[in-house]
Amino acid sequence: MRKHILWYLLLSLFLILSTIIYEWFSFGVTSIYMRLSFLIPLLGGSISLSMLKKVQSKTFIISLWHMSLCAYAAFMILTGIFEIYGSSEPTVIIFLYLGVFLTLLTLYFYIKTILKGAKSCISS
Amino acid sequence: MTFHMFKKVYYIFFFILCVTVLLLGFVIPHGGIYVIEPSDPELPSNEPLFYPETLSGAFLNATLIDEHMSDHVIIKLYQLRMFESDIYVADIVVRDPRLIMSGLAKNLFGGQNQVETVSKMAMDRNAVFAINADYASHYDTGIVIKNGEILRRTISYRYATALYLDGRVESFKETQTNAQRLLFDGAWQVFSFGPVLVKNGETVSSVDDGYQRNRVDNPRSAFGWIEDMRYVFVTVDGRSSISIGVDIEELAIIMQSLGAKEAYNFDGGGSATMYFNGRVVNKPSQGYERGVGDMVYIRG
Repeated sequence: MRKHILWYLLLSLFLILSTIIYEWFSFGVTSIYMRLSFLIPLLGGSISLSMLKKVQSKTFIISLWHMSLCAYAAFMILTGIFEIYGSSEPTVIIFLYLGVFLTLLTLYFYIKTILKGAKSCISS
Repeated sequence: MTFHMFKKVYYIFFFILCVTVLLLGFVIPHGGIYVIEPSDPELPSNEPLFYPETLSGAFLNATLIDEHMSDHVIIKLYQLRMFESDIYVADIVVRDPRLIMSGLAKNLFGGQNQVETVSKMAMDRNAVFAINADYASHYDTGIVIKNGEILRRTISYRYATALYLDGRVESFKETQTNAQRLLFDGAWQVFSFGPVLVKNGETVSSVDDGYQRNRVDNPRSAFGWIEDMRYVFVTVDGRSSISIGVDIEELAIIMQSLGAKEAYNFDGGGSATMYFNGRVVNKPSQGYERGVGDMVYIRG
């Protein structure tokens, strides 16, 4: 658990520092997407930790959730990069779709696991 | 396939996707529609063109560094210094606004990374003067009319500016009109970048307009209308210790002090480039010319 918390905090810090450095080289132009990208590991990590307690044996659910966080973070960062450049790239939206798909997949398996656990409790 | 293998495949695919998106966004030229530019109109040359005998405003502090005169166009190139920045001003009198042409990189509108330098585009067209313009294909929306041809009808929430065939220039909110109506009213060029700098002789731009890039001192390019058939194009050098650049309010003050009744901001930053008589006259901030999507030019 402690290892997870450390990783999420380090990733959030890494994104904050990267944003500061990138904006420094962008002649003062900023992007709200890039500035808020640190929230993905921070908030996403909090959700991971609360899930971890309930699905301890099903680590693949946590992995799926991490994969979706990656996709969301990539969406935020790439949108920010293009925004700072003053342009847009339509293909960036693929990351958002990927993130949503993986989130739904995570939710499906998470709920299935919870319900299975609840059924076992009732039958015992 | 085990989940472990699935994870590996996912992250490899993810990395490839990131690299592909960045390449598509910044490197690989793709897309765009081919546009043919018209040649200069046939114009009578029996009446002489006049350039004002006395100048006023910021012109009083400007140094004439080059000029070009022909039957149909007079271009005077000045250099001045304001706001700790080097400013290049092309003061232009034309017989007909159709001599102020738009040039597209690779003759393509739209697409991504379809760029050329202003000097290359100018030399390809035997232009005597050229300046980077609104890079209209950088955005996905906004009315675009180049050389009397509608290239995009999609309306944006920005303010655009139009150069009309009767010589006047007018800025407007795009949502209040449409491309067909503008063409019907005689629009020759419609630029969609902004913001508007000067309207009816008063500065209207603000550093608090919500656009970060407008608040920061940067190299800039701008277009202004002084009076019928007399226009001014300005490039400001920036991002150096010698010339720090200007924010959008300072740029508006420069245009107003040159006597512009209407003035509009073009693309800036590393793209700010002015070409005259066979050479780039300003100092692009990157140390070399950046490729741009479009330009305004005059053959002379």
